[in-house]
Amino acid sequence: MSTVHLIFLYTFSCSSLLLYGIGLEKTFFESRPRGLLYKRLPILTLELFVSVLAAQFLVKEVLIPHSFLFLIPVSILCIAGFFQTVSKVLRKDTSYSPPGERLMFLGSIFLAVFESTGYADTLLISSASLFSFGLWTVLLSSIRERIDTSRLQADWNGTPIVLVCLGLLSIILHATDVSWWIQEFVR
Amino acid sequence: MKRNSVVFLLALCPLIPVSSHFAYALLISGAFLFYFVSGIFFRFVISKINPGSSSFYFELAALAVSATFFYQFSAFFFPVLTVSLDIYYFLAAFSYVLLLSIDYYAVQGFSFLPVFRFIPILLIFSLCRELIGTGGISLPVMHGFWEIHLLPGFSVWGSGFWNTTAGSFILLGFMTWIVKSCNRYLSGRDRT
Repeated sequence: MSTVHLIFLYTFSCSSLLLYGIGLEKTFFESRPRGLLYKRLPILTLELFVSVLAAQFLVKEVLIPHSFLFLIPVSILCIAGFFQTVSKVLRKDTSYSPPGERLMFLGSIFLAVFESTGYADTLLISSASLFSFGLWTVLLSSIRERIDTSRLQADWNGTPIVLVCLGLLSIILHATDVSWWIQEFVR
Repeated sequence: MKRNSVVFLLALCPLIPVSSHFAYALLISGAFLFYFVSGIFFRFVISKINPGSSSFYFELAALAVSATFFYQFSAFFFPVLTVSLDIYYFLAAFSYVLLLSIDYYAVQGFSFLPVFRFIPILLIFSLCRELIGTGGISLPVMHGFWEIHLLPGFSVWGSGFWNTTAGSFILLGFMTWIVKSCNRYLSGRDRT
């Protein structure tokens, strides 16, 4: 599978956010006016890349050859925790990561390690997860902004209409799987 | 009321993918209960050891061990379903709903535990989604699903759309709207 196709697949039609639900609650919160994740995104990206590479190395070179398959999930969790702690110590950051962010971080590492076959794929899938997260957050915050200024019936305001919009966006993004011109493009 | 809506919102993350079948929702609900009980137990043990500021990381490691244990248990009894659910067993162990419930239990006891509200929401939502999307419900068995067809004539009027991710978002949006409308109606009636 080509690089572009892989990123395209894991950003849109096989999005970590929509298909696996990873980071969905974080997107929901970050799309509100006072979302703070964008400030932390460079550090989070760096932590994610280092963690997925380390996890992939451990799984591919140690755990799978020695048939310690049952240790894979726990070791991924330990690696993710270790690199996040090291990063915090280096940055002298004493605050706890919000749980939604931790879930997104762990989920992206799990997805990248479980779905990839090599180191390059791991990095591409984790990049696509982050890209998908950023794209959905921007789309959702635009929708929220538009809804705030509209004269919507009170009971529809907030979560119900955002969920319906998410459903409609999901249909649009999955349309790439069935549209003939995309199939021609990626062939 | 505010708490209810927050719990409903927080339940979103694992709700969408694992609620496509009632059988998945049953297993994930079992996982949530198991993690909650083991989380309380490990918090008690860790508080006795008192490792200081690193106690949070010990708790996470203990939850990871609980998740691995439940995964092995599930893989033994439901090997086919566990293939689809493996990543969610581990994600569920670190979900906001669960960690919040363990924190609340440590402070307030059983007075408000989000996990006990989340599990019925998950079960009801998956039941509705599967019933509308496939015309029946599925239960977990060793070789996969045991499917029970409940709605006659589903092939004529039914639509599998509701069992897709997009359908589930729209269905959840409608359900949230119904809950909000009912709450508004009931609070208005109480005032009069």
